[in-house]
Amino acid sequence: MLAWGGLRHRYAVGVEIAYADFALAAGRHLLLRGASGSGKSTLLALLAGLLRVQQGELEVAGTELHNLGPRELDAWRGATLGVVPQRLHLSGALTVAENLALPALAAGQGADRERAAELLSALDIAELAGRRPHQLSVGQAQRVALARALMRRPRLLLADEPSASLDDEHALHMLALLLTTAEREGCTLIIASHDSRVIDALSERDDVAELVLPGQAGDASADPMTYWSSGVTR
Amino acid sequence: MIRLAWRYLWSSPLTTALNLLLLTLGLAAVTFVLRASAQVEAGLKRDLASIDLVVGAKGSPMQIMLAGVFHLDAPTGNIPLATLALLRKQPLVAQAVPLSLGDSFRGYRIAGTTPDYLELYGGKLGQGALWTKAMQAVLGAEVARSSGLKVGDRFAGSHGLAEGGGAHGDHLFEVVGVLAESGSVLDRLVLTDLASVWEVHEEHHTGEAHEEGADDDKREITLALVRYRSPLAAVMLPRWVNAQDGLQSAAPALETARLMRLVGAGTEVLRGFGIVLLIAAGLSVWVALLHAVRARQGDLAMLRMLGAPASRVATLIALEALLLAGLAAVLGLAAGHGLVATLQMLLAERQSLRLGALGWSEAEWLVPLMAAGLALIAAAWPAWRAYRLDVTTLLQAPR
Repeated sequence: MLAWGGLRHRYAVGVEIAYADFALAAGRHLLLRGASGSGKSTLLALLAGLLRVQQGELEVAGTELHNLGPRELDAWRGATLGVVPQRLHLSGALTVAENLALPALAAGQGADRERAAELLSALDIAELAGRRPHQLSVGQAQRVALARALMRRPRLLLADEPSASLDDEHALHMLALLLTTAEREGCTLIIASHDSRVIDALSERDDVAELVLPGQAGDASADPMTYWSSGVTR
Repeated sequence: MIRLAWRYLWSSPLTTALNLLLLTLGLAAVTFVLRASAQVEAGLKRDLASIDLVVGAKGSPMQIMLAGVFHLDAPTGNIPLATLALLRKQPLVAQAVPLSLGDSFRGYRIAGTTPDYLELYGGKLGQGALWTKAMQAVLGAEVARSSGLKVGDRFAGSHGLAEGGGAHGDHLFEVVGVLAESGSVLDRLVLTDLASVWEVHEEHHTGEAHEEGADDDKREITLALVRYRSPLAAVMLPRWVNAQDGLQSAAPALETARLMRLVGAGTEVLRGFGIVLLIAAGLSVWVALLHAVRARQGDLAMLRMLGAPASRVATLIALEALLLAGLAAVLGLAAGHGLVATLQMLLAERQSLRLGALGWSEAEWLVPLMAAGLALIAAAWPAWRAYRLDVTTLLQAPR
C-alpha cells in the first residue's frame, strides 16, 4: 500500500531530509509520529503528492509518485487520497452540503449528492447539511471534514493531528470514528499524531503500524541528517 | 465553479457591493456617453434628411442650419420670395423648398411651405388631407397628440417661435390633416401653406387684409431648403449664394459636424470621468481580490488538496472578478440606457432636439468588453498569487 526507498527532499534554504526505507503492508493502518521539525510535514506532503519526489522512489496505493508530473499528482491526489487536516478548512462561505461538493468541483465534475447524503447519514450529521461551518460544534465540524475527505472514495485517508484541541472523551471518539469509517470505506488510514492518548489507544491494535521520525533536520552544508524510522514496530 | 465563485464573491457583501457600485457608475457613465452621442448623431442625421443646403438671410450659418433643419433656433431674417425662383433656375439645384417661419402653436412651430417639404423627410399623412389653400394646417403627430386637435378643429397661432407670444386670434387655422409619426422633426411642426403665413403677418403688421394676387416681389420667405443635382454643386452653389446680396448659405452636413465637435468637448469630459471611475473601480476590485486570496488562503489550499490543479484555483479568482464585472456591465448598461431615456424625455418636454431611436448601438459592445478586460487585469495578480499558493502549509502545525 505504501513504500519508499532512498527518499530524500531538499529545501531551497539548504535543509535536506532523508528518510529511511519503509513499507506498509496492505490491510494495515499507519501511525506516523515525529516531533516538530522532524520532517513529518514534508513526508505527509510527499505522500499527498503536494511535493514532487526529488530523489528516491515513493509508491502510494499502487502509484509510483516519483514518476508523476504536477497535474498528474493533482489528479491522483483528488482520486486516491482523502485528507482531514488539523485545521479543518471548511469553507465558511458554503453550507455543509456545498463543502461536500468541493472534491467533485476540484476534479471538474458535478456534485455527487447521493454520496454526500450517504456519508452525512453514516456519520450521523444528516441534519447539518444546510448549516454553515460556524454553526457547527468542533466534533460536528470534524465529521463534516471527514465526510468531505471520503467523498471520492479514497484508497488512503490521511488525518493530521485529529485529536488536537479535543478533550479526552472527544479525542478517543474521533479516533474510533476514523478507524471504523476507514474500515467501512475499505481505505488505509494514516494518522499523523504526537498525542499520547492517540498513541496509547493505537498501540493496542494489531492492524496499526507505527513509524517514528526522530531528531531534527540537518544543514545541507554538513552531512544531511537521516531519519531512521523505527519501521513496522508490531 | 461559477456557483462557487458567486458564493465566494458574496461572502464579503459590503466589499462586493462597493466594488459593484463603483464599476456600475463607471460603466453607466461610459454607456451614457456612447449611447447619447450615437443617438444625438442619429437624430441629427435623420433631421438632415436629404437637405444639402439651407439658404437664408445674412447671418450665422449655424443659426440658419439650426433654424431651418432642426427648428431649434430663431432664423437670421427673411429673404425675398424671388430667391426661390432664382435658386430653382440654377442647373445645379434639383429642388428648392421654401420655409416661412414666425409663428407657433403651443410652442410648436408653424411652418409655411409647399407639399415638397414632406417629401424631403418621407412624411406620410395619418389622417385627413394636405392643405389646398391658405389657413389650412396639417399637424405633426406629436403636435396632434399633445394638443388633442383633430381634423376639422380650429386653432389660432401665436406670434413668435416660443410660447407666450401674442395670439393671432382673428386668423384661425383649420386642421385638415395629421401626419403619421415619422420620428423626425415633422412630428413637432404645424405645416401650412406659405400664403397662410403671409396672410397672418400682413394682417398683423399692416392691419391690411391679404389680397389674392398681391405682388410676389414684395413677398418674403424665411429660408430655402435646397437639394443638389450633382456633387459639383457642393463646391459651386454655396459660393454663388453667398455672393448674392443679402443671402447666406449653410451646409447642414458641415454645420452639424461643427456642432458635434463643439458638443464633443463635453462628452470627452464625461467619458474621461467614466474612465477615471473605472480605474478607481479596477483598483478597488484588485485590492478586494488580493484581500480575498489572503483571507481564503486555507479554502483555496484545501481545493488544491482536494485535487484541483493550480490553474483551476486561479480561474476561480478570475471568475469572481468576471462575475462582478458581468453584473456591473448589466447594471451599467441598464443605468446608461435609463439616463439616455431620461435625457430623451427631458428634451422632448422642452421641445428641443429629439434623439434618434436606437436599439443597441454598436459602440455599446465596448461596455461588457471593457468590464471584462478591467476584471481580468484586476484579477491577474491575485489569481497568480492563488496559482502559486503553498498547499503544504495545510499539513503544517498551526502557528
